[in-house]
Amino acid sequence: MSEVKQTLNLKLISIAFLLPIVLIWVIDSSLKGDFSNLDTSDSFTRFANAILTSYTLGSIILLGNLFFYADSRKRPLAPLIGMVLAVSIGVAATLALIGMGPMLLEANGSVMAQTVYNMGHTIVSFLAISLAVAICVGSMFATLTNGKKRIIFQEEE
Amino acid sequence: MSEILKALLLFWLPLSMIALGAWVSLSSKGNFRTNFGRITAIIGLLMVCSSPWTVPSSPSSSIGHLIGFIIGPSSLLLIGIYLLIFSGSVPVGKLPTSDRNLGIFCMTLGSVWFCLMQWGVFTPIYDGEDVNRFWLIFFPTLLLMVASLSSVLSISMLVIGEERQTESSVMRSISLISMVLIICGLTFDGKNISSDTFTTYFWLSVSDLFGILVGISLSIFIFGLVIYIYEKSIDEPKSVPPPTIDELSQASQKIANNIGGVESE
Repeated sequence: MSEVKQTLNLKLISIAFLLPIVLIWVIDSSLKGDFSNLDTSDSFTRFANAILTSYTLGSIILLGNLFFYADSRKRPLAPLIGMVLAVSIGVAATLALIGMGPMLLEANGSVMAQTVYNMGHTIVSFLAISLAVAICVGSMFATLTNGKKRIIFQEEE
Repeated sequence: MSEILKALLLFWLPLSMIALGAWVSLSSKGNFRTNFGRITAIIGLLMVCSSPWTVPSSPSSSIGHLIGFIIGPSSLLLIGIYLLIFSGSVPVGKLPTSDRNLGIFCMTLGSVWFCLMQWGVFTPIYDGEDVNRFWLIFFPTLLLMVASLSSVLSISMLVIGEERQTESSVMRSISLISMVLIICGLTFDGKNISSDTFTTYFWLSVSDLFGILVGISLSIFIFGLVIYIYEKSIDEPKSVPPPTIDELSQASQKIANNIGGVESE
């Protein structure tokens, strides 16, 4: 596949991902006549908390994956230290930014409460995303296996 | 025992047991370790689901409450998908064609159950008072992700596959149904959840989804970078000397001994 076609496909897929959100936004705004329910400050707080928490949790999961990598590389320490450092930076950044003040606190009184809430929130979001992926990919396979059977080679007839 | 310690021992530790158990069970080849992983994960899941009774004072236990509520419809959806996939034309593990109807029934029942949790009487009410706040996060994220991902898969089938218009239109329909459900949530009040509450949480879930995508991409990038730097720092592997004449003749002897057979008719 040529590079131009690949870029075009990526653009199409990105548009396909964003299209339902934009359509919902337009329909909701049209039905209600305004867009008062979107609080940009709350949305930014959630966005920032989601980045920090998912980065830290994702790094911890990938740190676990390094064990598989180490099996084929005589257990080197350097990448392990690198990933531990990446996780530590994530944890430190989360605690520091939440501790800075009310910017990242979402109706939680302390850094500890907000950190625990962030973890819970991300776990629930992961559950929802995993179920959605299972539904969509499963439905795609179901349509493929239940579709018309194709003849690939004429001599198979 | 302090409340924090109780929450740690009766909620967060069992929650990590689920992840650890799943990891051990999926990565092990031996029967003992696989079974050990599965049992650990099941015990963890049971303890998390019972956390509203074991640690009722901890706000985290509402996650256990939510898991207990969504386990039924989620299982129905997954069983439905499994039946639909394997009742079709698959080379291995084919189920009877009649299971297709059962699969459609399971998926419809699972979807209706989720809708009744949002608009009907099955809403997860925590502590007998408020709607479980994690349900307000779970449902909009699920619908949003189904709408966007189905749309992506629909386009991917047209772009990558050949003559996949029918399959693409099915995925487009799933995306459309999810969008209609979201619009209903934004417009109509449920028995326990108002449209205003749903609207607030829906737009927060959009921010949340983009935040998660950025965070996960960042962690994968860092992981790749760490591996790249390490691989770049190690020396080139020593070149193997070319094969000698003796080795070459031995290899050709082996090949000659293994080539041949009866010509197919």
